[in-house]
Amino acid sequence: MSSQIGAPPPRAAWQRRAIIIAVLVVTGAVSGWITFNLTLDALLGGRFFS
Amino acid sequence: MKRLAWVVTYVLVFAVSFAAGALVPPLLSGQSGPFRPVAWDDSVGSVETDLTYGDGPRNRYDLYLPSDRERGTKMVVYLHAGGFTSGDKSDDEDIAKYFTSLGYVTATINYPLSSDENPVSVVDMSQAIAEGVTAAVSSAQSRGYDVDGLAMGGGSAGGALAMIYAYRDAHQAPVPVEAVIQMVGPASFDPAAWFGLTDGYSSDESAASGAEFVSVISGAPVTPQMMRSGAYRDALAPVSAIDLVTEQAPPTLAAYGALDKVAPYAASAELAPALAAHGVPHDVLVFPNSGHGLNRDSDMSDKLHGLIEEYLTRYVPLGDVSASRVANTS
Repeated sequence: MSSQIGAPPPRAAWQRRAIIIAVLVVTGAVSGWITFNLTLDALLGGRFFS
Repeated sequence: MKRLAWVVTYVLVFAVSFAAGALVPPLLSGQSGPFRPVAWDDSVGSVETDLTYGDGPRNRYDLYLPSDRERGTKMVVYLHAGGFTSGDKSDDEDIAKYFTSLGYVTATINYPLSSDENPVSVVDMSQAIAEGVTAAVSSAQSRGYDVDGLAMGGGSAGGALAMIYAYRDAHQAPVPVEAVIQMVGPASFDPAAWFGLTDGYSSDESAASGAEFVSVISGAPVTPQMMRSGAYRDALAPVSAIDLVTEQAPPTLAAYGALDKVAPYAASAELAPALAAHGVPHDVLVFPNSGHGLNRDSDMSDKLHGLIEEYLTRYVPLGDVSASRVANTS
């Protein structure tokens, strides 16, 4: 019992899922942006017309 | 089962986020491109598609007719991109509608494309376009538009073909060619500039690859020996804008991406000096952070947009019917 004194309370399941989803949204958007705007664009030389 | 549902949810969330990250920035940047979106309806104009100018399956053009028939005294011809092997006039529908919203009759013309089964040189394409321009002007005139001048425009391969027509074939145009407005159109096809070859074709590999490239573009049989002697330049001359520029060339607005890997800017770097040497009014914009899409420099894109309208107003002015009516009644 003494080892748990001062430790943060365990996260609820919904909190863990919210964090996972937030991380997935950020990493997905960033990796999508990099893939399209840097990798593909560099390979194709900016083939896509704006 | 519940765990599996969450895993699927996570995968979907990532996929949607990935797609949003990939597609939203270019979609947003598209709003500030040089050609502004147009709310198209019958009050702006009408479109006639798949008009013919020859017997070939690609000898087709679309005609965008402004609603103000009396003011529509000029035509913009816009030629599609696609590396001489792909593309279609419908690709430039929004661009054509933009020009038409300004009051111009606009023609988008298909031309023969090259393939392994049916090699078509740039020379052949340019000859087809000359026929297409004549047909498009005639069609507009027969529909009551008193077209008396035109601007040649295009993107990439279409930009190169627009310059070739304006600089080489304008003397046979049915009406004067008054301006060129083109984006990322190669102004030359010298393999040394395209591929960064610096050995003067001394190696068998560079001479052979250079000869093949020049043969495909020009339609003329070019040998490695011709690459070494410089004789290949004669084959490229009919399709190299920088060699076709004369004092009679129309004012030219061009834009290039300094980082272009599809049609390297190095191949077109001599366009501005060639135009200047012949006293041709011109603006050649180089987008410092952009490739072939010219989509990484919004400030330059805005500048290009302003210049497009400036060139049209200055060099390809529409008939001002209302002004002439005032003059006639005063």
